[in-house]
Amino acid sequence: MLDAVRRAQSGSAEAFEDLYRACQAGIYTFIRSQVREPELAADLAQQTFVRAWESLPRLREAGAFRAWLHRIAINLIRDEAKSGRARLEVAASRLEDVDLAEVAGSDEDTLVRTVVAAELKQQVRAAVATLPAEQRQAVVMHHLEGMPVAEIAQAMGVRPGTVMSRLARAREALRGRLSRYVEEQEGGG
Amino acid sequence: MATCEHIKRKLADYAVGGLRARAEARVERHLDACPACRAELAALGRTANLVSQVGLEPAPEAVWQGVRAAIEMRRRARPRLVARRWVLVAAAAVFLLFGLLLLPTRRAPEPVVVPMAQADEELQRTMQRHLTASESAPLADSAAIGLALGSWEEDS
Repeated sequence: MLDAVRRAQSGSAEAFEDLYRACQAGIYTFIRSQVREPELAADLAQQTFVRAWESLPRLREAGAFRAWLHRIAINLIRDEAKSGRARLEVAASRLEDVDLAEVAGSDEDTLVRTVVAAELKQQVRAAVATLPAEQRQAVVMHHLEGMPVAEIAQAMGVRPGTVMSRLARAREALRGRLSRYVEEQEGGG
Repeated sequence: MATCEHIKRKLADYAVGGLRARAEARVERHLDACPACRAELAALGRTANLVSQVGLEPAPEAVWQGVRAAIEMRRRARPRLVARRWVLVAAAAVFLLFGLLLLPTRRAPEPVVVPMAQADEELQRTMQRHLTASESAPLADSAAIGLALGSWEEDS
């Protein structure tokens, strides 16, 4: 990614597309966890990458690209929140969590397992959605995108200790909200 | 010895690596001896796993289409902006040069060089004019008076 960042900084649109492909799912998932409408999330994701393209020559540390990208997204979300347009709802059940192509022609057991897995994802998303914004951001970056604490700290503009505290408080809250599923996981169910 | 209640409040921080060395050691000593707290720590770990399993959601392809269109638009606009800037700079330079050339300058009048022979002839003609004019009104012509006085001094 470092090489792609440097080439993109020199003006290579192809290199920037490589960066986009590498980061789009993380950024979109991150934004999607913060705003209500999918259309708004898509719009903000687009704005994030366009702003990144415009400001990329000013990025001093190529290795900080992902954290920097998240910082742009956070600022855009904050601006939308100030305008009153970005509101987070507790996610309702989404049929798109079930991959219909995957289950087509499956036996009943497979279908049930797939639907149950989709329901579980939905419950986890709903639980994450109830977290305070800063805890939610840290959880998505750490547990879904796999970003280390130091990188999350850079993205959020706080100390690593603050990130760890937010992750800890979030995990306590999620442990309570998802207790039924946590116990089921222990039993292997 | 730390109670389970006290340790349980620290377990989430311990799980994310957010405790200082001494506090971490205290928790670990308690965990060695307490199955209940160990079970709770494991539950916190499973909670993290549940969250991780949600996975990432790809952005709709329309997002990239919009990004690419914006990049293309900016790339097309940039050469025009650069060209316009150079046109302005060139125009300013031409204007400045033109202005400098047209600016009126005060120069010391160049001395008129008159050849010596020509100067003598002109002097003679000037003297003759004054002497002729002074015959009728000598006091009106200061040059003639001077010439006349000069001739008296030579005579005396």
